Amino acid sequence: MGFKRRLALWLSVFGIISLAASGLHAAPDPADLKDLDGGVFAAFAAKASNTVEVNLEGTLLKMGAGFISADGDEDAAKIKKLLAGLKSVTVRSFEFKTKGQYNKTDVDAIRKQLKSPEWSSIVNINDKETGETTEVYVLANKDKPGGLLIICAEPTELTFVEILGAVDISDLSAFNLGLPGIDVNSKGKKDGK
Amino acid sequence: MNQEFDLETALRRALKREQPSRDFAGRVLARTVVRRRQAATRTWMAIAAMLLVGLVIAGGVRRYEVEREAQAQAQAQKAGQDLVLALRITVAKLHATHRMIRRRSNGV
Repeated sequence: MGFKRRLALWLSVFGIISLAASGLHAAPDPADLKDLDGGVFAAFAAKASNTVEVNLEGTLLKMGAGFISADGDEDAAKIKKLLAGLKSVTVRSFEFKTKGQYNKTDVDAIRKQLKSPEWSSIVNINDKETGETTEVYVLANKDKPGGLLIICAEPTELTFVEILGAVDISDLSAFNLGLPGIDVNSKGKKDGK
Repeated sequence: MNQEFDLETALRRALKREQPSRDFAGRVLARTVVRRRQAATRTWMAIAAMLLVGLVIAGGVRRYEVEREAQAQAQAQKAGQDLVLALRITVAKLHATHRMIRRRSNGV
């Protein structure tokens, strides 16, 4: 076998290995709520009487967690522990004064963009009596929780929550609504500990 | 030849030793003292100017740091409030979902 042929063979083997390796790494990231079409959210916000928009990730998330005072409070300490494993927290919530202020097709469009194959549906409730639809998805990351996605469509309220990172749904559910003990007005520790 | 002689005479006349006036030394000393004082004044003024510039720069840097710290503090507080709000919404939705599941399983 000539040198040129051997070189071509090695180059093709190297190329195939590189392609395979890049293919292994090219697992698509789940769709990010804040990267979605802002036009639909803007349309919801225009009609909503109350809008909540939260985008927290990286340093900002650490800063926020660092500002939560957990001194001597068991629940707050648990929340801080839970927050330590998170990558990002994104919330879009819209409250409407009356029913029929948003199109269900717009919600479907957002659902379609968010629902990548990485998300596994664990709850899908469609209450015809109340007109409420609730969907809960989880993202598995090598048998560990990798994220949580909640889509709640009520007649006068629309909520999208996306939490990426090591979030345990049972840990979150165990907290009370008031999340007592969290004092964000006091000066927290800057290092995020 | 006559011209050369004239030149030599002129040179000798020009380069003839002359005694300085009596107050010459005093005047030279006085001028030296004045120059030294002027040089010292200039040095002190330069030092003062440098100190002033240094103070202005240090003040500016300190003010920038204080403002940045206050900004970071405000940003962290806002992030903390946003985080609590996000958690409250998430927990509320999870609780509502649990209630719906319970209601369904109880056949209500």
